[in-house]
Amino acid sequence: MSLTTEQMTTLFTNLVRADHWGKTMYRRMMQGKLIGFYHPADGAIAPGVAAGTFLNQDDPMWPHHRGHGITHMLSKGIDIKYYLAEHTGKGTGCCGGNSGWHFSFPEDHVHLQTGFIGANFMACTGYAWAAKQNGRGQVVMNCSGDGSYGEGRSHEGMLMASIWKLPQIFMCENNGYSIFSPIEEMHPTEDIATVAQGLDIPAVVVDGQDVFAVAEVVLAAIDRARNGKGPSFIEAKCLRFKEHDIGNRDLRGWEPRQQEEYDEMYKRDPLVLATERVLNDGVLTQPEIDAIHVVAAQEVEDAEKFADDSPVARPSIEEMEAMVFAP
Amino acid sequence: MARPYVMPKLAMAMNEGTINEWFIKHGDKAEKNQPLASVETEKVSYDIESPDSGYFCILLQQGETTLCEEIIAYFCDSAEEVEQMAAGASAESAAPTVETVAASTAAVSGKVIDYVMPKLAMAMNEGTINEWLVKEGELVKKSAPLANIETEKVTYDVESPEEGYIYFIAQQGDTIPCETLIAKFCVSHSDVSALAAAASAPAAAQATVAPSNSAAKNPVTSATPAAASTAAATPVLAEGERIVASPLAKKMAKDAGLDLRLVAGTHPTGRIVKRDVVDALARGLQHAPMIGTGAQVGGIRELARIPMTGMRKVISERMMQSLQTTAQLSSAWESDITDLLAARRKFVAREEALGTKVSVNAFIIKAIAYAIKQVPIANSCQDGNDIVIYDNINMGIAISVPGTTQYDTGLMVAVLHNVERMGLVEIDIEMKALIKRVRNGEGTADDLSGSTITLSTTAGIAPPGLSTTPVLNLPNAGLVGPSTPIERPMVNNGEVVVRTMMPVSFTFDHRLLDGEPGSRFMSALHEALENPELMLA
Amino acid sequence: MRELTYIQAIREAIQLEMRTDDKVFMVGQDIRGGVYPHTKGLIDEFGPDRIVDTPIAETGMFGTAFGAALEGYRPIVDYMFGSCAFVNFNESSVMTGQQYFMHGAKSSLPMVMTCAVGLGKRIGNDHAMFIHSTFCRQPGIKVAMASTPYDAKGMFASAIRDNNPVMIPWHTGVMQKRGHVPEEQYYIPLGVADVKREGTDVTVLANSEQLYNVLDLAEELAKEGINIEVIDPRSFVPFDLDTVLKSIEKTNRLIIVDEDWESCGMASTISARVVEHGFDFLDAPIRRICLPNIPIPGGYMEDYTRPTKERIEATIREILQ
Repeated sequence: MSLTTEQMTTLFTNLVRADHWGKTMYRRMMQGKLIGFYHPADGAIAPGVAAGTFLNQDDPMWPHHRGHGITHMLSKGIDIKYYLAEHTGKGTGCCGGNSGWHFSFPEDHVHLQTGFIGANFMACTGYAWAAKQNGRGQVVMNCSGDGSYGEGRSHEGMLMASIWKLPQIFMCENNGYSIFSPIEEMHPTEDIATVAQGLDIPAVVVDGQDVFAVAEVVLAAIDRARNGKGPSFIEAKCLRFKEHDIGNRDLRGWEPRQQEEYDEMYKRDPLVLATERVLNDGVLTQPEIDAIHVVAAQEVEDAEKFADDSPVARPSIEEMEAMVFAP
Repeated sequence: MARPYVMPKLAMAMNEGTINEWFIKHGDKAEKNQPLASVETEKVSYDIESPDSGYFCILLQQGETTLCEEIIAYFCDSAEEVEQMAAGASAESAAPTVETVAASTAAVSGKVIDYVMPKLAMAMNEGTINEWLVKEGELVKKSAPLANIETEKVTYDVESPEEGYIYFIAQQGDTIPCETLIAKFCVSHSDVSALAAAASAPAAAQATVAPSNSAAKNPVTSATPAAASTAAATPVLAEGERIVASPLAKKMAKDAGLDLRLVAGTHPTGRIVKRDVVDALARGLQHAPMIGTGAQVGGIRELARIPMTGMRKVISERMMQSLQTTAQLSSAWESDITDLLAARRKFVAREEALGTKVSVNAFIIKAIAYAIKQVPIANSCQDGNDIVIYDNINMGIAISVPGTTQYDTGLMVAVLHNVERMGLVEIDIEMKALIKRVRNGEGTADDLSGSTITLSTTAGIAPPGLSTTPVLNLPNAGLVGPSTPIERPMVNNGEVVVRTMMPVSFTFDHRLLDGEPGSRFMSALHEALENPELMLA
Repeated sequence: MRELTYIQAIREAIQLEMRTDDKVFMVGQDIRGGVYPHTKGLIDEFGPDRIVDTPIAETGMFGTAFGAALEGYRPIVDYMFGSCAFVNFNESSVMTGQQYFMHGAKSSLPMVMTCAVGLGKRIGNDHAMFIHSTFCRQPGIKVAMASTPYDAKGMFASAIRDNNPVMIPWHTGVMQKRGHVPEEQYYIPLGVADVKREGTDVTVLANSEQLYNVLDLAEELAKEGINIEVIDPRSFVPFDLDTVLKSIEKTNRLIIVDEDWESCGMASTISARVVEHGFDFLDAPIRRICLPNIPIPGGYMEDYTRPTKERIEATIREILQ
């Protein structure tokens, strides 16, 4: 399925925004201006953009933890300043400051975030079941990394989606590493997609550095799901430019990743590739591209101001106790 | 408007009276001063006269007995009111000066009779219920032992004046002013339950104190209360041993001021539990002095710890009161009792015939009586704003009684009434009998009250020749304090002879009598002591 | 007076809620056929979209409920056996309990978890173990157990209507107990204990099958003049401490019967709270009657490792010394 100019523009814009956001978050973490931790998505932002851009507001999504879901969420139309506020412990944050780094945007059907790898399979099964019951063509976008497919619950999630023909898209963002562990050692086949095929889920492998390529297969999967044809599996092979999370060494196994690897990776910077593409295809001019950057930078700057001006959340113990149960 | 008529207190010591005979019929019109009834007290019968006029409503029937101050009749304005009062009396039986617990009679079917803290002695202001001798709700027979009540002086087992199912208002351990409601007699057990249910809280001492009758205005004589304090208790635990008690027991003990070291635990593990504390409190252990606890504060070890309750408390208060509210001073001299002792030896030789071994104190009392005759003002008390000089001489005799432990003592003043009429031997016999009664806790109200002058001797205990400054026994104006005689060389007719000299002190209240009569009294006493034949006068 | 068994009462609660609210559905394994009577036949009335069987995949099964609850449904997850709730404990406890608070107290997670627990059938630890104390640990989950048919219907109904996750296991030993159960739907609030029998001498807390033991004992001891006050806590989170404190203010003694291991069970927490808030009422140490810390034996030993009437009676007599 080929993309329209409009779709390409939107995708490119989201990619620029994701890039600005990613760099900002990395910088802030290094400056001690974030709570908790941060798992940079540098180099791997294309699948998230493709995953989120074409969803409706009521399509449930589970963003990949890499990049803390910012890429996915901004593409879906969520205002990230509320997530930044949460990530800086402010009461204006999307979880009232209660979570440290989790997000929750129920109106946008992005319900939760946890540190447990594989939890996405659990929740998305339910989202997808509900979507099927609702019968209005909702689709569930379930994004996680290669490592998450080691979880037994990944099997359960795919199993249920397959037997019930649930409208769920399994977006496997395979960057080849889970923390220090290379995927070659942790999975028996080259492509994780074979597992999905084994459970009778249509699966494709795609270049995860190419946002437009990923977008094409995503659109196809969305179409299938909306029309009751059940789940799809998309394996986007992408690259993790940086360490697993800030503060950890960037190792392969137990040895540092080599300069050659980085050099190779950087040749395939998703934004550089996308910029070349939109210029070559005449989708955008350079001034237009620059303007997009300016707007993106402003968006991030405004969000930072919002977060930094907000007061820190310090509810009393009694106030917190009152938040344990819903009325 | 009906005016209540109460059982009159006809004698100082009267507690209750019986209507031998009404001289008037129920509903008749009584005239003031007319003979009203023959009333029998514990001692005598009196014909009493009507204090008022009006249609007479009789509540207490012939032959019935009630406590003093209880309503026994009403003077009414009309025959109808007589019947109203007669009917109303069955639903309410309060003495006019005592408020009952109002709500409690609402659900009760039968007549309820109030029982107030009895005034057991003229000088009694309040009483402590050491122990109810019956259980609440029990059917109590008339004259059955009802309660063990401790006054400032004595402890009595009071007898029930009524028959009925008893409902407690005051509880064990409560101290209630006289004439205040402490219990009610009901006609049925269910009425007791109804009262209990209606009372929202234990109604101890809710009733107001009745202004007492004139009996209370009589001078409080004795400075010292009677024994009946709790015996000394030794701790159950060895020194340093941990007290093991349930949390509930600890709290109950703490709230009541009970030291758990005195309590033995009855739980199989030895733990002190609630029932043990309840039991200890019923026995009054919270008032017990303790010996040998070994308690240490700042390097100072305790040998014993004695709560200043009961008699000690009253002694403490009365001593302070005496010293702070009077202008008392003491004068001391020595009297030559050589001749008195010689006279006494003649009496002592006739001990069997006389029936007593006449004591020196008997002589001293006789001497005091002689001196009072010369100087009557020495035999006086303050009563309100008046100096009352008494005609009869009631000799207060200070006696030491055992305290609560082997370390402390108590002090009582026994009173020998009307010594002016007694001979030496009679004084001695009566005095000894009196002291024996008081020491045994059998002293009557009269034995312990009504002194007009007091004798407080330290002879035999104190060093020879001791000059003392004894404290007045209020409300007496004077107190004579002899001490241990001493042999001295004295000048007699120009010669130095060895004579037995007795030191005597006289403390008097300068507000009532001055140095001149005081000195004259002392001289007269001195004269009688030195010339015992004057006591024959 | 109309009577149902306990298990029928649960079924009726579920059925009536499913009739009035089409967002209520059940998911479990083999619930369409109904291993236990409470789901039997519901498929006929509500169809496979509302009585949902899953593969033996606890995460998949639970996740169906969890995700649907966030998307506006009111699921009931049937684990069949209590111990199975531990298979995906990370999800059933941690993620479930933390969901509402951690995400800013905005969107609630209205789901019910239920399962069979309980000793007495000699089936061994994995099928018999109690799970309520463990689920009490993660804040954010309500935990309850009904003892009587009347309570069961009212409490299950309340659990379904509660906007929070509720773990409400049931004891196989009481499933056939009969009792009065009104036909209409009614709700017994969670977090409220019930004084099942008034007394004066000692307070005994008991639940599920042990409640019946204690009530029997109360009848017998009453003949001797020993009057025990029997309280069914009914809920463990929230726990109705006030009812217990009010009771021991009167009786001054407390025995907690909890058919769960002694170590780290709810009996310990209740005991500690009573000491903290009611120390001065206690005339004797609080006694817990629990399972010994042994994996529940499947053989005949189960009979005497459980709290028995004899053991409870002996404890009552001891505490009254």
